[in-house]
Amino acid sequence: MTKSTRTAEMTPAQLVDERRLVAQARQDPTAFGKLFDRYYDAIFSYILHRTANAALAQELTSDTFYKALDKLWTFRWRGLPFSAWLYRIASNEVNAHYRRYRNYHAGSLDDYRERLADELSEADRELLAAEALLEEDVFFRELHHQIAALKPKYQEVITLRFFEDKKIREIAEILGKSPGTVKSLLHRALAQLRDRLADKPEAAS
Amino acid sequence: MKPEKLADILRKTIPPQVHLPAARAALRRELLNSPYYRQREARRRVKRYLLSALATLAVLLAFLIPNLIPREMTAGEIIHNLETAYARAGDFPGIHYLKMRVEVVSTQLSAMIEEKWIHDNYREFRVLTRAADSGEILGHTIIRNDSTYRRPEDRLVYDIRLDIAETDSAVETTGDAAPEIETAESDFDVRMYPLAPRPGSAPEETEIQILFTRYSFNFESLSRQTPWDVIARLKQHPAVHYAGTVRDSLSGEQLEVLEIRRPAGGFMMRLRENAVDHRAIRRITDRLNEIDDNSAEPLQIDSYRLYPLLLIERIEVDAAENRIHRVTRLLRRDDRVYERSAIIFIDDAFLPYDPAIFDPGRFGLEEE
Repeated sequence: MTKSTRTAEMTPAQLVDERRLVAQARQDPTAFGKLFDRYYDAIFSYILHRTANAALAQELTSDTFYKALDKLWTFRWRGLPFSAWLYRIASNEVNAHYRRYRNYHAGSLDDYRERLADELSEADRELLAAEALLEEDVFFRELHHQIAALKPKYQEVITLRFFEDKKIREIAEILGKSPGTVKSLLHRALAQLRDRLADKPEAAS
Repeated sequence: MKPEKLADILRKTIPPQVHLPAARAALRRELLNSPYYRQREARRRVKRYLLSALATLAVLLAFLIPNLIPREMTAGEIIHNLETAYARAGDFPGIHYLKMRVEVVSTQLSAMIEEKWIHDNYREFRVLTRAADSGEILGHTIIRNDSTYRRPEDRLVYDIRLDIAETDSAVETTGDAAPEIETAESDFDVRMYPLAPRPGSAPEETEIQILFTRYSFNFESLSRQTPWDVIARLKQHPAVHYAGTVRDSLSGEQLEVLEIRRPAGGFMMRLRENAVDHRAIRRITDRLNEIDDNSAEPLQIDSYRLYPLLLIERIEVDAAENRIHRVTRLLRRDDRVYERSAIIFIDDAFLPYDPAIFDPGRFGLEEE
């Protein structure tokens, strides 16, 4: 398995094309559909790895794209890929969600299991499969549990750097910080995660 | 564990890769059919409607505003409009009736009212002149069939032939010099006016103001003027410019003002009354005639210093009616006016032909 959701770096020509596409998307749903197709997987993946909950990731991804569409007229081109703006919205959505619901327990597997099989839609079924997959990955769940205990700014850099395979410069673009600041954030985040893992030897092993 | 080792572990960690194609397709559908685009479309329609309404309004305003906002006219526009209007009037086959007030102010005001009836390019012509204050008839003349008829007791007898020769082709004048009010290039005329004594001053300190000009503002030269003469002069004078608007004190109408400023070719000086030497003044006049100086600089002749005068001609035009209302001429130095004359065109009308207007017997006029 590879980290397949990573978005490729864009050439200047692709950036120009994307700028035109974003401008069109303000009026034209087809253009927005192209942007959605281009970035849905990456944004869903990022949110999933921040939340380790498929139902919640689906919900927050939906919120992210709705917010992007709603605020598209405020988008100002700064020479960065549109995805940087989407990642920023996604991060804000995740952080805001955890601020609101510290003990969120949305759409758990049990909720679906209790339903009759013939009531489940195709989306419900794929969500059940996703939850099962996440449940099986004990290592990731435990690692996520420790990462989720860190401050949101540390969660952001660790997730983007190691699970979404983003370069320091790309993370800096997404977070609107300098690469030096991102490096220092990453260093502190790793130190804090190491300390947490040291306190839980079973997790570290 | 060192952070580098932890980083290495994390780098090698493959997080679960989950895909939710059905959820993704559902979200895509919802987004693309969201009220955002429906509202955008509605907004776009409203915007398009508003833009077209604004464009229509802008076009309407572009037509209306120039008529609603008073626009400063140029001298050229005013002259062109006057010329067109008067040329059209000149084609009228009837009688051209002109009523004008002529004023001359030097030390005191003199004014007369003059009425003229002109038919068939002066082949029949009648002029009646009265004193403006008393209404007394000063002169009454008719020219008909090459004969001139006057009142025997007339105090004002004009050289009507000169009038006709000058006025005949006034508007058509193009190449030659525009007709002036005064006879040009005459010798210098000298006028002396005693100034009002200053309070407490001795009688011998009374000052005399002496003007040396090639002309004076007199009734004969002024009364010969017609609107056609004024237009021809405006057309040909290079220094004519637009000088704003004034409101007529009687009618309250707004009048556009054209102005010509130029050196008058005349001079003034002041002397104490007891210092006036008539031989010296004659010498100065002879000298002025010799040097023929039109400069705007003061002149030194013998021990006398002469200051150049400025001639300002103001033509007030009723732009709404395309009619010349008043022509004022000022002889000025600095801010002081030394002489002023004015022609006010009170009435300028075209009447149906009536031979009785030119009947000398009816008015008691006798053939010369």
